[in-house]
Amino acid sequence: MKIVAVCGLSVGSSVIAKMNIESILSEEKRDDIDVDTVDLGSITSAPADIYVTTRELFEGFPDEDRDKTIVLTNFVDKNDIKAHLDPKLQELEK
Amino acid sequence: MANTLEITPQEIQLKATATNWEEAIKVAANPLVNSNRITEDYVTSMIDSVKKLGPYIVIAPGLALGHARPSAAVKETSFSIATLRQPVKFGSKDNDPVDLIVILASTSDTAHLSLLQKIVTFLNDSNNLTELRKAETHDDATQIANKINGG
Repeated sequence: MKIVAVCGLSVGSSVIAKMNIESILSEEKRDDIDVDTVDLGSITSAPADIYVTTRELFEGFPDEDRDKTIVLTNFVDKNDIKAHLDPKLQELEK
Repeated sequence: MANTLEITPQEIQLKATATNWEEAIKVAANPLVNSNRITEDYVTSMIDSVKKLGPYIVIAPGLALGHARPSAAVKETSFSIATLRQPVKFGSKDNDPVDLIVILASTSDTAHLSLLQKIVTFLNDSNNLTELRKAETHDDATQIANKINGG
């Protein structure tokens, strides 16, 4: 499975999201999931099972990718990220 | 070299003053401009990216990550942190107002990662955020720098 964190420039916030998601997945012993970063302009060339982004950037998302997107308001609170991520993972793995 | 990159107390400004978000980014970036690690152009790029892409750099309640793409305006990969005495609004629906600004400047897509990981680990702990927001003195800044660098 692949998770892609999307931000405006792909050097800052999405990298932070990636670090925290990798840390959560490592705690959950999910080594079958890869996490990448991409900037919003390159999203179509970065296929993913789950996208992670902010509310502001979600507004610019392609319609077909919206259903698989998690909108985070807090990129540094791992409990909050986990609360969004885990249900999405369960939904995909049903 | 990247692995030995650390933040110093000189790069941590506590209870700084800014009246709006653009000024807040400028103030937070001052230690890096004054030590010639970034140019004024980088500060302009950080502000322009918010104007273009919106306040998405406000990545947590009260916390903005000022950054732009790696470019010639970055002379040395570096970070600075500023807390504000009075918070400012960035226009973020979820996370305004902002009283904590982290400036990230990198010479490449990877040069900043080791120190960014340390800063993220620090920010993950809500006790650290509380401590940082309360901090006032140079000694406080030293303690915070040590805590971040310690990983």
